Amino acid sequence: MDAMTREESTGKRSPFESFGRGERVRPSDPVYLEILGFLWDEAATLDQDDLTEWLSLLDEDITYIMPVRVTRKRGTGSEFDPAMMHFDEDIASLRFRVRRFLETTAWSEDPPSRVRRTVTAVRVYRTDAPHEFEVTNSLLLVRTQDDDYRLDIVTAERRDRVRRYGDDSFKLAQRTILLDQATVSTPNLAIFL
Amino acid sequence: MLDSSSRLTGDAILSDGTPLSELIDRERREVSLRVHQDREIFELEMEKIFARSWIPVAHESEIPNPGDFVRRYIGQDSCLVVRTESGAINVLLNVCTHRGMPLCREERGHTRTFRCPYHGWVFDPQGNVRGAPYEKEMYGDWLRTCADELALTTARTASIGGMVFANWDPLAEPFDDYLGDVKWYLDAMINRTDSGLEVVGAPQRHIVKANWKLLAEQLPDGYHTSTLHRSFAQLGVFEHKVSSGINVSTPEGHTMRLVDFKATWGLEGRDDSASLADRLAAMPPPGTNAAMTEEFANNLTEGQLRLLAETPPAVMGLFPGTDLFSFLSHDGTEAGGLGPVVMVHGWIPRAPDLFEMLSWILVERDAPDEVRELTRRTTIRNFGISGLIEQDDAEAWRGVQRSTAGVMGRRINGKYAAALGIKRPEGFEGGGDVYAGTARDDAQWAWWSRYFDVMTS
Repeated sequence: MDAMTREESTGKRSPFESFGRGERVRPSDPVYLEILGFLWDEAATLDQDDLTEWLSLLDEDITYIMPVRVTRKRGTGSEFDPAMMHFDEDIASLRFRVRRFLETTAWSEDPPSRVRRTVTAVRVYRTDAPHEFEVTNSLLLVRTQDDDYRLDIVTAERRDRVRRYGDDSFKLAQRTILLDQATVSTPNLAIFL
Repeated sequence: MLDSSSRLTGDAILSDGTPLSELIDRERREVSLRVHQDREIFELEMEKIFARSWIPVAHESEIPNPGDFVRRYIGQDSCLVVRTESGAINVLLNVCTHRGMPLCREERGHTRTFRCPYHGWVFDPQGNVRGAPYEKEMYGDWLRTCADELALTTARTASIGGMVFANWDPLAEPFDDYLGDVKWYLDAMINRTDSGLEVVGAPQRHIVKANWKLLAEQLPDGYHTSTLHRSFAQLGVFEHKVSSGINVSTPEGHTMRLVDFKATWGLEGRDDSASLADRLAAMPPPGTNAAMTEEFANNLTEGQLRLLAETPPAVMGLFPGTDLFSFLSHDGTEAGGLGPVVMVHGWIPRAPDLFEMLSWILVERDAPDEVRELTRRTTIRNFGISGLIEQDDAEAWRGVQRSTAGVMGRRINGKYAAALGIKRPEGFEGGGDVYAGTARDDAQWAWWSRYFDVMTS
């Protein structure tokens, strides 16, 4: 990536507090549609179990986290733990995870799960960096393993930071997965959300 | 249905006429895999094991101030773990003694009293009823005169290394007796520094589609690592061989695996004349650094220091519901260094084929930020729900659960025939039954022996 963009990317904000404060990009804006297309493509890449291609959609400085959620009474603070996570990844650790799946006998995903990701409620906001956008979206993830009829359903709000390269290319620079469940109803996270 | 009189003491006759005690073959060292499937056995376990055993519910650092509480489970019973004004920790059954409503549905908070949302009875952190709406009109002075009877059910509590354990049974053995010989090892593992450990945050929680015993019995199983976790050898993280080292079990059903540093990490070249302090500083135990090892002598005996320097406990299971891990694994960086994994598991059996796992990460309170951060991230990446090691365990447990659900599958016996026998290395100071050498089935078998002793006594 070019040095200019890297500089600008230091403007990442806490996904817990000040996310999506910038000017809203209207759904009729071509930029909105391009980002929508990027999110669909990214989800399809994972659904098709093309993990190598998925890694190419992530930027070098990506932070990928999923905080633990704890049920709290209304008005007593955030339900998301600031330090305890289900995932806390960067590009190196995500590559290591993918390498394990593709190059070794990683039994948890061989045979691979079948996963369907539905991405909806996409809202796009401008940031201080002209080529970067904050994107909130809803994820409905349905997972099935081998011939087990049981479906695992995981739902979450995702807070993404998407960075534009050139006219029509994007990379994911930040993803925070805010689960709806306090007790996650799938036996492992050998999948990406 | 089980005969109710047989539920609490002695052997149980299952509804097809089989005595529970016949599901173990002590001579051949085999266990019927039916134990993972049977609803009757599951119900009996809740009565005879989870309602009477020491179960981990929280770490003290989760509730630092008076009035802080978290809501957890012991077996399937929801409980409140509360810090009182005096600083003590109480564990209360989260069931209103009036009509059975949970007093609290949030999992974390701060309060001076618990008010039931149904009719409004109020309890203090000691579990005493403090009042009710229209108390005089409704009850006169009954709430005062029958206060003992109306108080919340309280569990006994104890802690080690800040981990809080609770036990519903007022007649259960004291916590130190329950720990027995394992306490010496456990103190070395988690009570080594002056300031001790604290949690990173709330535990992860997720479901596993398997019987809880598939996790609990697996702790001393060093045999599975070379196949189930083979990916780590293929990635060059661990050596690809059957783990050697020292397994330990105790009569209470506790089990552990101690790492042989020389064999596992290839340190044969190290100077044997180096002092214990130098050895510890050269290879600080997971979660610490060289400077911190200087504090160890304040808290541990020389024997415990030797244990940490030469054969540290890597995994430990406390019967029936606690696992602790302390070892090094891939840190997930490009360079592929080793980082510390320090995790505690508890679990909530939900059904014969389902349990919930809780995963706490512990870091040293006084460790430098970079040590704490490396511990936090390495542990998340290796253990718990997304952990590269435990991903594969969850798949093995789900697999066994499904394949033994059938009439024929559940007739298969699990086999623990690989016996090593007690082999205590010369000069080894730890207690319990010690099995040194290539990991075999001795310690796992001790777990099953204890399980059947408890279930049929």
